[in-house]
Amino acid sequence: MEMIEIHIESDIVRARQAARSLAESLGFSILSKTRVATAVSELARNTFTYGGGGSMKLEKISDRTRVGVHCIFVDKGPGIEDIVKAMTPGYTTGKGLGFGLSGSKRLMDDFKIESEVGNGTRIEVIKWK
Amino acid sequence: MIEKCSTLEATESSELLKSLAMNQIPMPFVVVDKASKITYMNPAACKWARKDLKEAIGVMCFSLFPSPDCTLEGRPVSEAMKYDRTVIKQIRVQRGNEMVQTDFTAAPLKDDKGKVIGGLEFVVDITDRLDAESRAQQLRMEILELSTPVLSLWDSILCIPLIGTLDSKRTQDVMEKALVRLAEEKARVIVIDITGVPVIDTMVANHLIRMSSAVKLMGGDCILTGISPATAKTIVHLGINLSSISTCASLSQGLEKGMKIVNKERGTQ
Repeated sequence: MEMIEIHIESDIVRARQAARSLAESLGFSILSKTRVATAVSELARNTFTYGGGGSMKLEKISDRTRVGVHCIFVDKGPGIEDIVKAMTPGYTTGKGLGFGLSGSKRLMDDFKIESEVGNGTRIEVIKWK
Repeated sequence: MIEKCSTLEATESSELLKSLAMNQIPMPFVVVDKASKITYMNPAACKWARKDLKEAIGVMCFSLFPSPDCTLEGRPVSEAMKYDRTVIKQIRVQRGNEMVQTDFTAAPLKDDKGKVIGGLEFVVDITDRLDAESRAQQLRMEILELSTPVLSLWDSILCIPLIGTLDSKRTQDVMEKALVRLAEEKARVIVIDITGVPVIDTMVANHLIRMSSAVKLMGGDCILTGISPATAKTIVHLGINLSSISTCASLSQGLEKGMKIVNKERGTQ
């Protein structure tokens, strides 16, 4: 298990590299590795830009038949008012393209988001090999 | 005895070894009682404070190692003794006339029953480390400057080979440089090669789209090259629409396309 603090822009790169190397060590294909790295990049950027910084917990996950990469992003930011809206492709409250959340959901296998206004956001994702 | 000791073989001389080691630890090390009065300090600490051990004993530790970063209550050693835990702080400590950046470690000193009877203080001069860090930071900035070249690839065709991570600042730099060169050299086409960009996420894509529209505003064309199969598939999954930018698989194909654009315009003139 690895905890990566996300407080400056270059932390996004660290988070992404850590996720990519974990995926690599588990023998992910090039495509899957790229998917993991891209999704982590998106979510870490959300944590940094919208959540005002936070952390990513990264670990290997396995069940009886498969292994995967498991990431949990936590921030103590303002939270998301309307999660359904935030998950809509093309919707953004900032300057981005608005594909970060919806796109990461498509890139990963499992995607869970919890958010409370004023209390921050927690996003949990899994990509199986 | 000393001879034995110098080979580090003798177990019976461990007391001597301990005292030799204690006296030669290169970092200042101070033992205080519960009232923060010095009860022992090693030669390195004596050298730092410019006092003999005899002179130092009984003196309050903060008068020999004054720090502008500590209040009387908030000193690491008081905190260590009060809460029974090791405290490490980055504080400035005065040495003679100069102010030294240190990693100041304080730990409680306990008797054999575990009762706190005083405190231990270690001072590590980190001036050199901080200097090295700031030099590294400066180097990073310089590399950043160097890492975004704009090349003249062919008559009227510029090329930007992007390598590494694209953050907002870097993209801004590249965009500015590219647009200035476009105007200066009356270029027609800019080929942006992203073979060396490890991840194209929505932010990078957004930057590329903006760059392309800025080039278009100046009457130029942007050709994006070097998208790997994995990246292409990932971009599609993300749902990003890059169709506003013309793309080619490889740099050579991008150059070919650029030359076609340039030649076509010349032909019709």
